[in-house]
Amino acid sequence: MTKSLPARAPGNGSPPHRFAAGLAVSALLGGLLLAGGALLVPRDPATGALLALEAGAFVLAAAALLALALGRRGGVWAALRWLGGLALIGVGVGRISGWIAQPEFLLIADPGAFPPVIFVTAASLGLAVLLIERPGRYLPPAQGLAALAMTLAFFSFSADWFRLGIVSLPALMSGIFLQMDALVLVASAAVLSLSPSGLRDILAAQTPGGYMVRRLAPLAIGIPLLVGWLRVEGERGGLFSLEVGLALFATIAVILMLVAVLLIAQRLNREHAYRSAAEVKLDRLNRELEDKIARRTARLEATVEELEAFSYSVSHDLRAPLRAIDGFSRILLEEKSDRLDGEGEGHLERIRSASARMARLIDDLLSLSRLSRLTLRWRPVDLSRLAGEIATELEAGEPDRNVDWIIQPDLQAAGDPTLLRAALENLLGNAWKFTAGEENAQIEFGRSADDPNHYFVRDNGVGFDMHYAGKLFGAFQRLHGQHEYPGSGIGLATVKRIIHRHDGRLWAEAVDGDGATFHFTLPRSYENDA
Amino acid sequence: MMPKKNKPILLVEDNPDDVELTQLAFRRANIANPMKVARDGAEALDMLLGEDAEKFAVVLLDLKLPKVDGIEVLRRLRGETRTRLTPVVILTSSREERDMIASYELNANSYIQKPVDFEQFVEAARQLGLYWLVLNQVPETEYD
Repeated sequence: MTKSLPARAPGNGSPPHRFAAGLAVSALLGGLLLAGGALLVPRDPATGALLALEAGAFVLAAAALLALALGRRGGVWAALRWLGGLALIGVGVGRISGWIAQPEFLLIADPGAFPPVIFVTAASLGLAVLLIERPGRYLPPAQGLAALAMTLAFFSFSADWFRLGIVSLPALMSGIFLQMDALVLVASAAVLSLSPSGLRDILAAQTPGGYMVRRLAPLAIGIPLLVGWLRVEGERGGLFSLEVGLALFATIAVILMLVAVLLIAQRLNREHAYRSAAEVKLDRLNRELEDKIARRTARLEATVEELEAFSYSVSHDLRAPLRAIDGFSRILLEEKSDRLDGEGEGHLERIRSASARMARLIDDLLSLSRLSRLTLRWRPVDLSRLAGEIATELEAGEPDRNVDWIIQPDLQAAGDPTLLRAALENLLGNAWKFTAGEENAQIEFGRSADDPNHYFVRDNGVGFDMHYAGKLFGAFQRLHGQHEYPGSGIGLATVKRIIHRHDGRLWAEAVDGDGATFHFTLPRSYENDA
Repeated sequence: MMPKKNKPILLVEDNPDDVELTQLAFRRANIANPMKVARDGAEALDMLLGEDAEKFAVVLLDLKLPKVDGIEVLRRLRGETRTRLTPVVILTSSREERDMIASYELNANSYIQKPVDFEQFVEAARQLGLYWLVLNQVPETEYD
């Protein structure tokens, strides 16, 4: 297994910017060095001052680029950019047109003179700095200008390079040309990596293409310079003739480039093989996962089918014997009562009320199981209005009771209106039931201040012992005796199932003898029922 | 108003307890029409479509039956000219939505869930008798 390409996240403060900042710092230092050199070691004071002026323009532009690389755009920084760009343009145009007097400009043949090409590159670089944030149809203008500046600077740089050679650097002015060209190259590279999209995206791309460009581009620049210099030196030194030198140059350049290309290709191939293997593995895992899901779904479907058959059978078959129990007890009571004493009649009544209770339990159980099978209809639901309606219904049922309702207005949620009504009916009905003994009964329905999806129903009724809170939401669980508070014990199980069907949570807190609070969460937006 | 010609009622029901209770309930509701009983779907089909088939004022049909189930009995009745208009009331323990839908799709005339409470059952029988044997009109010529 090979290592994957270095992972670098694109975006702000990421490679292009850090890279650009590095380039801008180099340009800044180079500019300062140039200015210092011009002032400290002048050929003559006038030239030194002029040179310092030009170096100053570079320093300004480099500082502006650095600011941009660090994300400073507005106010002072924009002004700095303008200043730097205009200074470079001024230096370039001024020099070329002769506005800025300089004796060497006329003496092009003088090996120590400034070649005019430097000022063209300075002017295009300045313009590039000015236009750096402007997008273009095919290529941002700044990138075109920077590329032009780079090409010219490279031309001039390599001309000096081959003419002087590395070893014969000492001539100060020549050193300055090289420095200025290098400065232009570095600053242009900064412009390229800072201006939006275009070449920068190709260079910074975390793809095989981007990887290749980042490796090959420096070699494409470096190899001809190095090999060319060797050739020139060799020819100058009389080691080989022009033709042999050319052939050597071509051969060495070709070999070096080919080796580089092959190495990169090998790396990309390894990467590709690694990815292919990963893809195959991923594919297999996906297929296995799908198989597993299919098997589980089948099993689940079978279970659901069984459950449906079960509840159908419960619905149909469990009721018939109950009807017989109730019917025949009734007939006994009515037709054979002369042969029964009071106790016997009492027993028969008990049989009848027990069968009635069981019938209700069966109905409740069936409703509960129906809840799980139902498809939810998602609609916007006004919970406050629902709660208000339920409160009115509860009061109508027991007009003698005096309960203080506190219902927070305008609580909007999303869900199945019928089911949410059933849930609220159970919660508010419970609160109503368990505050029956309370003189100043109070029932509150509201939304949590912290979480807009979190609702609660609070009462100051009998509450319950938190010790048994776990039993609260199971079907047929009761924390109070049937004789105290009637009910089948199915209400909270129903609420729980409804809230779960809505991907919400339900929990309760209480103090025994001092009220209970039921909390639930509901999504506010529509969601598909899976 | 008198019950029409005292035509018999057909009760299709396999549970003897339920048969007994239904008969008792109808007697208590003072319904005089004779009640015949089919113990399974095949017997019901025979009594309704067989060679010496009678005409019934109303068929009280349970859904869960041995041999041929109630839905199938209803389908066959609706497929025959002689019985396609016969009033059929589904009288069952089931409260399942799909049973109701299946029944009405096959043009059942009514769907009633048998109450567990005997008093309610008697009341249901009384209303059934009043409605289907007294109030409800059927086209006699085509029907007979």
